[in-house]
Amino acid sequence: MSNLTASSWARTVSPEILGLTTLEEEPVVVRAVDPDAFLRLENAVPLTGSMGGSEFALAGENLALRFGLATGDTVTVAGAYAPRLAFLRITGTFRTESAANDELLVDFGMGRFLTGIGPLNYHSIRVRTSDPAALVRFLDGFQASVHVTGPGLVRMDIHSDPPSDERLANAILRTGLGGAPRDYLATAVGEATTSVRVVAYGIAVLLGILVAFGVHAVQARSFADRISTVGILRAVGASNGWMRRRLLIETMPFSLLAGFTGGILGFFAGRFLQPEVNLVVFGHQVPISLDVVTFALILSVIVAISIGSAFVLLRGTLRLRPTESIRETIAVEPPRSLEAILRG
Amino acid sequence: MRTDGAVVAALLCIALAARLVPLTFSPLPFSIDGFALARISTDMAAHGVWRIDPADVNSYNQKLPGFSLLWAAAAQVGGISPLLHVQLLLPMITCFTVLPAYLLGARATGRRLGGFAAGLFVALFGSFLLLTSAAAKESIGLLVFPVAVLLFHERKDPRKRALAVLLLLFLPFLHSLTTFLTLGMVAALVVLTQRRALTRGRFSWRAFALDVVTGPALALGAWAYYVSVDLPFLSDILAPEALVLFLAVVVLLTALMAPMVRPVPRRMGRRLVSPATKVILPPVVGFVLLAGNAATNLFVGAGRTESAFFLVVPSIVLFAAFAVGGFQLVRRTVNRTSDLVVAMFVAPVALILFGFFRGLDPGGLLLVYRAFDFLDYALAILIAVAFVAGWRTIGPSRPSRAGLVAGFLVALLATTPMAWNTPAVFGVQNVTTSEEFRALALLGSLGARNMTTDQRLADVARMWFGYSANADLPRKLRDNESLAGADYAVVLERWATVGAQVHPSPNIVLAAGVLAAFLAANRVVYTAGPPGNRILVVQVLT
Repeated sequence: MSNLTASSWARTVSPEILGLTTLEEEPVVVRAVDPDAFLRLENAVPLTGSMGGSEFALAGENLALRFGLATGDTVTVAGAYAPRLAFLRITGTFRTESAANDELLVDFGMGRFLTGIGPLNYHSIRVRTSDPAALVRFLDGFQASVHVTGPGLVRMDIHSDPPSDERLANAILRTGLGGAPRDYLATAVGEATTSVRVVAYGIAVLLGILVAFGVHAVQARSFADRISTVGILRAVGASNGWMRRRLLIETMPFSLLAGFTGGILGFFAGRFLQPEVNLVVFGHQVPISLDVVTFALILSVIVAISIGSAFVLLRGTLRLRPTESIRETIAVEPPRSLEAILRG
Repeated sequence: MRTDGAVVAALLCIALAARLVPLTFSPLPFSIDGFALARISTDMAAHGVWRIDPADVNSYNQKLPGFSLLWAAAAQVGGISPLLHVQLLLPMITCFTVLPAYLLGARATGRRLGGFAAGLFVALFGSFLLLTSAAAKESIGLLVFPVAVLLFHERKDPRKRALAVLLLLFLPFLHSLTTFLTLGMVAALVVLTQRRALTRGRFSWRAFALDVVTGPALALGAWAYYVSVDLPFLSDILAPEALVLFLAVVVLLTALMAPMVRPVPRRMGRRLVSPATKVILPPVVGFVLLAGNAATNLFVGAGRTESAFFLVVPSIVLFAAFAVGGFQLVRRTVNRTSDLVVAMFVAPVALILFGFFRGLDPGGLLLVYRAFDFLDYALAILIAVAFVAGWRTIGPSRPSRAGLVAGFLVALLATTPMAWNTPAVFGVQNVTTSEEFRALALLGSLGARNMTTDQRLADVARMWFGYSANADLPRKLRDNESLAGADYAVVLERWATVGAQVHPSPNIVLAAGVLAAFLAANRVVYTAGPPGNRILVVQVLT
């Protein structure tokens, strides 16, 4: 880079790192740039905010319009090929006539963090020069393996074969070849749990299982006292269907109330504890928020778990012999000594 | 009593023989950590003081001086080398792990056969064998902690309680993880005892306070010491987020554990042991995770399950079946060790769950695999119970009984590759050969200021020789990066075949051409070992 910048024939040198991410589930290109060089190269017009600094996030005009972004807003972006999350504060907006108008520009530190690209590596270095031949000579003398193309240039491949694959992803985003260090984290996550969504659903399922265990344990304890009642009802002629309906009618309001109370208490307890204490599961922070859809979902899951648990308990009781269920104690073997069993 | 002595002596001989096997690979410590401990012991012996130097590469081990202090004293009294003799003498101590296992097994089953089965399991089970063969703090911890837990379990005798307290006070200076888990087990014992007292209406605040003060409350002393010396990794658990998660796991397990003070009622006509049991779920989940980790990195950034590990799996499945059967027998009967088994399970399981939930990264993997072997004594008890039950079930037929013992022994021996062939089973090499050690020693005479090599040799170079060593050579060679800053490199030819170790990440296998080009471009100043497995010291010119 320093050799290029120092060359007299290079008017503008713009090293760049490209990353793909999403904002509000829409694909967005994040580009790590030197803002001076990049904006000059793109003939960009600053609109709001400042265009530099050690840490920045500049939104193209079209991107800002698309997502309703303004200077000072904070956006959350995920790593391009690495499982990383970052919060970016929009420090300015700009306008260009190129595709960059729909991109988010960030500093190199953030770009490397999001893409996993190591120091001194870039996806591309764009050079504006009035002497393309000097650039070709420089590349040749530098023993660089590059493909050269651009206005006023005959396409050529210096110290390399012509590219076999023209796809953008292969040309600029591949890692492990061409000197860019392979990122173990990116490789592994790509193969395993790439998306934050997978982790989020995983956490939700895990918590759901824990809640189901808890609900079932509490209901089992409570239901244990009513096994004899079930036996008596069966003895006086209650059908299994009637008892299921009865149980459903009894369980539903209580589970609704319990789910509602638990959800509200959990929300307030979480708000009380934050920001000093956060719940982090699988390395991801679980946010505390009260939105209607999530709350309704939690409520319905708890009701479903409660009803399912109640039916499981009732089914177990219906399998007992009526005399056994009417008795105060279930017919169990008296506990024996392990030593006695093993001695025979 | 004489029979007991004879059985224990036989178990000791078997355990010692198994733990001396690593000497056939190398006389040097059978773990990288051993070099740090030997260096600290050597310095202690030379200067006559224990010092913590925060700038020292061995400062972490200096903060846990129990092993080094004892080893320095032993080396001075015996006139032996802390480095060269540790791998010979340590197995003579760690083979005594069979003693608590024998006691636990015999106590649980009421038969010597149970003690023998538990002792044999601890003597030969590969994973436990690996840890108790290695020169590491944990290897002594695995000997001390069951004694402390057993003494605390029998704390009605004030002498045993006092001894337990003494050991619990010593443990923080030996190994932080052992301390943490032992205190967890002790806390679980307190919960079970007090829960039982509540059920029987015999709860006493005084007894509870005494239990807490002489048990879990000793964690405060350990915590104060670790904070005062700024022990690394402590913040991993004490950070607010981690602590909340850990407390959640502890609360959950405490709630699940509390009802275990009573045996599970068994309905009339049901068998004591049945394959259709919920207990089978944890091992099944464990095997699924291991298999899943072979296909993809479960712990992102760490290595996968090696294919050779699956050769050991049939034996582990057999022992898991024994353990599941034993657990059902223990839980459905009245016995003297149920509390011990539950307590010895709960603490490691809590840490394993915490390791999983905290983050699927190398740190999580570290917690999970380090905690696993603290389950081995509880497993030994359960396996012993199932073994004795099996022995009784097959009747007096001698061939059948001989078959059972032979099968048990063969299954145990089949797990020993976990200890003796770690590169194939875990993808991690623990052995440092004499040739490698000499190659590293040569660097000193060459006046090397900065050297570079793989993670294993760089650790040895830093920990024992005190070199400024980088472990990034394999990565830089693979990525064709500059080696600026390094004046010498130690290269192993086998990096091109089995790969260079960069634990906990997977090995980096270099293309043979890359290695050849590096050697051609720089000056090879020393070569040792047979072709194909040579060790090369290279002066970096480019």
